[in-house]
Amino acid sequence: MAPDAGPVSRTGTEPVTADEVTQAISEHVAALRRYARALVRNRDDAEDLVQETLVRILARTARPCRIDKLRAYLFATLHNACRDRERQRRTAGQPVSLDGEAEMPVVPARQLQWVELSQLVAAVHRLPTDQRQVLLLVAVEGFSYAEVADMIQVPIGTVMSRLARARTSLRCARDPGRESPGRDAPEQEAHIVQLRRARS
Amino acid sequence: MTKRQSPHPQTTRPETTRPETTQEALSALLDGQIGSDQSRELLVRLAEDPALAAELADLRRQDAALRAAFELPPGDRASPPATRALERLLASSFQRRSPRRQWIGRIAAALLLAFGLGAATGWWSGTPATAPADGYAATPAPQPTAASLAAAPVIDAIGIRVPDLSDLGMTLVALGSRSMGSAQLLEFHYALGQARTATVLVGSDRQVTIDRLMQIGTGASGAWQDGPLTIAVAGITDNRLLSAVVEGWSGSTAATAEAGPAPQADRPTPVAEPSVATPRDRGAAGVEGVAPAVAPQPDALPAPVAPVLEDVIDPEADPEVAVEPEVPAPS
Repeated sequence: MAPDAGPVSRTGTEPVTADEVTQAISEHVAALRRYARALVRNRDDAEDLVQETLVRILARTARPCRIDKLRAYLFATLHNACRDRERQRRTAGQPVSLDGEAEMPVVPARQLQWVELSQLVAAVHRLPTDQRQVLLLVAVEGFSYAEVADMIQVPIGTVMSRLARARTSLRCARDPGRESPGRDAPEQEAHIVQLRRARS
Repeated sequence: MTKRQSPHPQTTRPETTRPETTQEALSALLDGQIGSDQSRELLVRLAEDPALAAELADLRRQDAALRAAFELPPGDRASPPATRALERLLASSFQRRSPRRQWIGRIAAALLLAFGLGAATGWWSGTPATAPADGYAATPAPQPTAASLAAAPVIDAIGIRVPDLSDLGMTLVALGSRSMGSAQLLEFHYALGQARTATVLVGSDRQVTIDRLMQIGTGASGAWQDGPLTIAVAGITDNRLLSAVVEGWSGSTAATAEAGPAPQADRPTPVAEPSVATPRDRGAAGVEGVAPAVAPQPDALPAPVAPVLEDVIDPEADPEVAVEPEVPAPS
């Protein structure tokens, strides 16, 4: 999936109608709402986060500006808004959700599939936030590793390792007894971590 | 124009970043983010190792399941009115139009946002815009300033005098509304410089307003009673600026305006203690930007008067060329 499909990715001087701009933004915001919902779990918090994101960008566009990759820019701004909110909550206390656990998936499906998807959603929400972010941005939203690295301000190797760990954790959560044939030995993984640290 | 420099130069060359574990290689193959050499090596391994091939297939199924699991529910796919109105404001800021049209558009969009009429109109649809040639360009559109909002009939009907805070470096960029049970909230979003925003809340119910303040507030916050309404400020960390904003907003409602200037308003009380706000407390049932559907309650805002949009639309677009400086990193 091309992250910036539509008018955003046009490079020439081809005219873009107002309708096309509106439609592109609407599609980007739909993706943003999906990501926010998956990230923060609570629907009201997610909508607030999206609105805060849009207000921040509106504040930016109060001055002349140019945004080359609007979709990535929206997600990066949401990431920063989410980070600021988390910081604030760490100091101000955590609101208590009465909505229970994670929202259930909505795909009409066979009962077994619904249960599996529910378990998958729960497993995603048990992942560490940094792994969950990367997994959702790549696997669900279709961003490239480079875009995600730029978005969350980490090296691309970190994106790769978080993503691989997240996917492996999900597989193990779905079937705890399953061995991963591709899994490197613990000592080899430790060596790789040391190598990365030395490089950075 | 030069492109923004990434703090991680390697992120511009994803194909050269080698996966360092088998798990990373499988992930990269799945995402189409692996270089051709590594891809060939991995494909050979996959052909020789059925268990590894099965793992790749399982990861692929897992990704498909993830996309299905996190799809928005059908009833939620449309943005709520407040979000939709913000989308339209953003779209309008990326369209090059005459200053007059932009001014009119901003005001109309702000009013639509405030009173939930965004869904009912497509007031700029079909209007050709000049191209944002490579990405989106925002022209410096005049904002719905305090003066312009104050002159608007709807705001006038509600009885709020929106103060002009431009001297404080605060630009009004959006106006939203929420309906929480019988309580009504207006949210005035300001730009503070390029990277920060602040919000002034005007609510008909003190507790609902405070809960909302705690929900969105970052930095120092304050709330005070102004006639029948509660006013709260969020997102301002500088105490002197906060005081100036409070002073600007004090006495801004019709009740206090009729009775006299600011001294009629209670002095703000800082809201320092964390409050526990639940989605139900915050009025999950009645959200965002919908005008009250019932007659005004004693503690509700006066009923809005819908703007007649046709009267303010300028059919003439006036294309213009803007000089666009670089956008700094988002925050």
